[in-house]
Amino acid sequence: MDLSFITESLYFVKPEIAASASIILLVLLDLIFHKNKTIIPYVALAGIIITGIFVVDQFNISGFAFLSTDNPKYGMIAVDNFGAFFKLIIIISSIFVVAFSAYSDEINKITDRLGEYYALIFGMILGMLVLISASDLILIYLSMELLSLSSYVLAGFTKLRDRSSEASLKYLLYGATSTGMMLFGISILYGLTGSTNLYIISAALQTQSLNLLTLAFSIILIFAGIGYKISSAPFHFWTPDVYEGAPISITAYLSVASKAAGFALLIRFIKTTFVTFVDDNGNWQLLQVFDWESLLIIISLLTMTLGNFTALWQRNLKRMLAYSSIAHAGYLMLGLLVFSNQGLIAILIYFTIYLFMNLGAFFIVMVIANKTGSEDIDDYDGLGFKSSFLGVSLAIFLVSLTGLPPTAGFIGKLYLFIALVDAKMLTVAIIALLNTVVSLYYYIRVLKHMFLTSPTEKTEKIPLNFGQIAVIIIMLIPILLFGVYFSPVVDLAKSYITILGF
Amino acid sequence: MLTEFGKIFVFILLAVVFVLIALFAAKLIRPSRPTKEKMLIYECGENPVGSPWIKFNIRFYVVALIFLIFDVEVVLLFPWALTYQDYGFYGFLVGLVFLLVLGLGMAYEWRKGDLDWERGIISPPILNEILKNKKAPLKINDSENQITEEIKA
Amino acid sequence: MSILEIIIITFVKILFIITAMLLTVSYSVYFERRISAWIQTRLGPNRVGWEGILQPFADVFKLLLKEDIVPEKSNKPLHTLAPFIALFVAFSTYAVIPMGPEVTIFGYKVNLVVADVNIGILYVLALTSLGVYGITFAGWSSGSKYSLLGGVRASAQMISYEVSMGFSIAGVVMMASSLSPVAIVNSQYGWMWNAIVQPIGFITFVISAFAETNRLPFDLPEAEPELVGGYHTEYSSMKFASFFLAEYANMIIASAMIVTLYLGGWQVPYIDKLGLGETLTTLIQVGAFFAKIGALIFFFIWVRWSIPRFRYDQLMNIGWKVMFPLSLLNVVWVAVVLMIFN
Repeated sequence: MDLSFITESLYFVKPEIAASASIILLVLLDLIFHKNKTIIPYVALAGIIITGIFVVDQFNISGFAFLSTDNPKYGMIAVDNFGAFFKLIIIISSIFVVAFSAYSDEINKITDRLGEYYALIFGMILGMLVLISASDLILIYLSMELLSLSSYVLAGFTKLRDRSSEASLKYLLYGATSTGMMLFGISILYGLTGSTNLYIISAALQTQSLNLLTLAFSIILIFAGIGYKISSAPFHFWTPDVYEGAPISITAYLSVASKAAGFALLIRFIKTTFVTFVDDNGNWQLLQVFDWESLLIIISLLTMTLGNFTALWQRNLKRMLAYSSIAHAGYLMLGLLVFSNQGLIAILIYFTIYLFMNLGAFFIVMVIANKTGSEDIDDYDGLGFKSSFLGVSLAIFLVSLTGLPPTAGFIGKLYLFIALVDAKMLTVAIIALLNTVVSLYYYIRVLKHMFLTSPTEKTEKIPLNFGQIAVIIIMLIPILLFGVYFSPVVDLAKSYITILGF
Repeated sequence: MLTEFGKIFVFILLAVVFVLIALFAAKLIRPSRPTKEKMLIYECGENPVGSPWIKFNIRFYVVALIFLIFDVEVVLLFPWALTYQDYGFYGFLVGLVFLLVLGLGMAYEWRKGDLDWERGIISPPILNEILKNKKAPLKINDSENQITEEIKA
Repeated sequence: MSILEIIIITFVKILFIITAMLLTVSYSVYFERRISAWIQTRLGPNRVGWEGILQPFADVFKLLLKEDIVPEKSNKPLHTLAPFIALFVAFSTYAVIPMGPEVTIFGYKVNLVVADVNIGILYVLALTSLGVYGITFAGWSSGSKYSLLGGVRASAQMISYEVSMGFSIAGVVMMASSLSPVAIVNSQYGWMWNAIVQPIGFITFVISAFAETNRLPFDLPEAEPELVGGYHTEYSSMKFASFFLAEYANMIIASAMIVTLYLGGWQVPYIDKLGLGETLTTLIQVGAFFAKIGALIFFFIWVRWSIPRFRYDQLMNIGWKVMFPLSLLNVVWVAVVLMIFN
């Protein structure tokens, strides 16, 4: 029998194969080095780097893997530059997360389950890599489940803490419900179009006349599944509790990598299924079967407003960052709802910068929590005086999250707003701008506690070792550099927006 | 046309009918003289104590979970086994990789102690305090046995 | 053949099988009692009829006339459903077991199997898995602590051994490249019995079969010294008889499966070389099938009265730490053997 359609596809899924091999290797090492597990983080790091090399190798390669049996023109996995860009974001954030975990007291205390921790992180990586390039609804569902199941366990990894178990359980319940809804939507879409492949569905939508109400129903159900992954309102309720309860390294990972994968899925789903062609100005021509624009505008504005206004009242820094990440999901959606290449470029730029600033903020919160055992904002009183390096770095990350010059966050927001203005969506742009002003309050409040409140007796100097300083500096450099010299990021983003089929 | 599955259906129908007859024929001829004592749950002649739906050992759940994992893998193995002779050496390699991963999963469960029925000493913090004071090693055995002993006591 | 003829033939086959099965089940109870008596140098039942030959009928009538006691605290619908499931599952499995080759009777070509389906093995596996429900429901619905523990134990034991059973069968499927019991029997031509080609799989399957049928040394679900009667503590009358019959029916199915999968089914090595007539050959083959089953049933009974019961942790250790790796090994072994000889 002919198996060439599988063997020929292997060329396109080298990163995924590397990630799967790493899972097996980690589990094996976990079993062999039962007592001393110091080697495992290094192996995990090596695995991520090898996977990353394969991802970089995929740049400028495009093609379908695992061809569909109905129509061998299309396949289950679409390898393209857009996917490669997001995969690189996943890989970079994974490297940071492994570094975080190495310095996290929460994780290092649990020596006996360290192998599981890294194996599950690789489970997430594999899920995300597949999710980013999946162009088949079944594969999307499967990879999303792989990603979710690994993250449920990781969210409850410090299982002896009540908060952590609560986080895991809540995450599981929300996840199960929304992926269930998504599966229901997928089944309706399959029933309408007769295929699970996004490209074939797109062709069917263009040629057949379908019941638009049923189609809208199925799309909204599918969007519920994706919206839960990117924690957009009204599917965001799990986010604060899970982010607060999960170990900080995992929180940071969920807020960046998991969200990136969700966005990549959303963009690919919309662009391959509902966009007929891209005109010379880079505007996407949507199929007139579903009003994506209104849905996304409403969801986006709702998400950022809810996120920002709820963040105002938070006293726990992890929780505050959780709400801020909800708000950022709203900003990121702005780049999508203009339906143009310009908006997509803005999303890619924003994600590159968001990766560094969000991870940086979480890392400093973790370093401080390692020492003080608390993330309460009152424990940050006078921190800027006692440990000035940490204070200044956190200030830079927070200012960047707000989107003020001269940090890179400003550039990210600038491109988003330019895209909005070019698409003549001034009202949306103004609401988003006002939201940014609101967000200024809660970010700056942290700075106030650090620099304008005098240190109490409780405030201690946070000792830093060389590795931690190095990690912080590595994350600071892009934030400051891209704030003034941003053309490389923009050029990079411009050359990585091609999605297969356009 | 009666297909092979149709024959199975007829067989199942006849089996159901037969079982129903067997169960209901008895109803017609047997006596029914219930008394209060007769309708009690059997507990060695004593009056039953507490709810009959007692908590049982959590390891039964662990066994069920492990079963779920491996039974799914049996299901995945069957198509491969069925077409094994068509694929030659390539099929052999694929199956070997699959079985190796499966074996790794089993080795993992084994090493982590999920296959052990006797788990040694379970020591929640409070119990540790008691142990320190008593200085006698207390082994938590099969809780099922404990409950049975409690029932008997 | 017209549809009517096919239907009539099918009905005849089904009725023949159900009757034969009922008789064998009843008489396996009788033989169990006689053999156990013989092993323990007792007499056993010898009063009803010649040497107690009518004892099974006396037992059935006794149970028919007994009062049916359903405890007040029990969940009554499930309590009634449980023996029904157990017996129904035990009966339905017979539909796919081939008893002999294709024969010509009165000018009709008849397959000596009720239904030659291409997924027969999956059908058997599915139904035996359903059997767990009967026992679990019985244990849970009785409202008795003994029953509950017996039911939970039974389900855990059965699912533990089902995995290694599945892997053992995978080895057989690899040899035959088919899931049809008829094709599997045909693939064991001559001395190519699976018991000889894959001895590990044979052993794991036989042991799993013991565990699946809850026969000693795996009868922990009804371990008398600990659990009174296990899951059927609160059953009486025909419901109890259902469980009792189901247990023996399962034993016969297990024997039939072992014969079909590993001992060549109705095949007798080199019988076609002897130049006997077609009718005689077929008769010998069908006879061989039943003789093999009889020998296995004797083996089941022999083991029961010779080997003491396991402890529960031993049972689980054997299931997961011995049987499961062995059955995996068997799959690899069959793969290698096929690789070398093909």
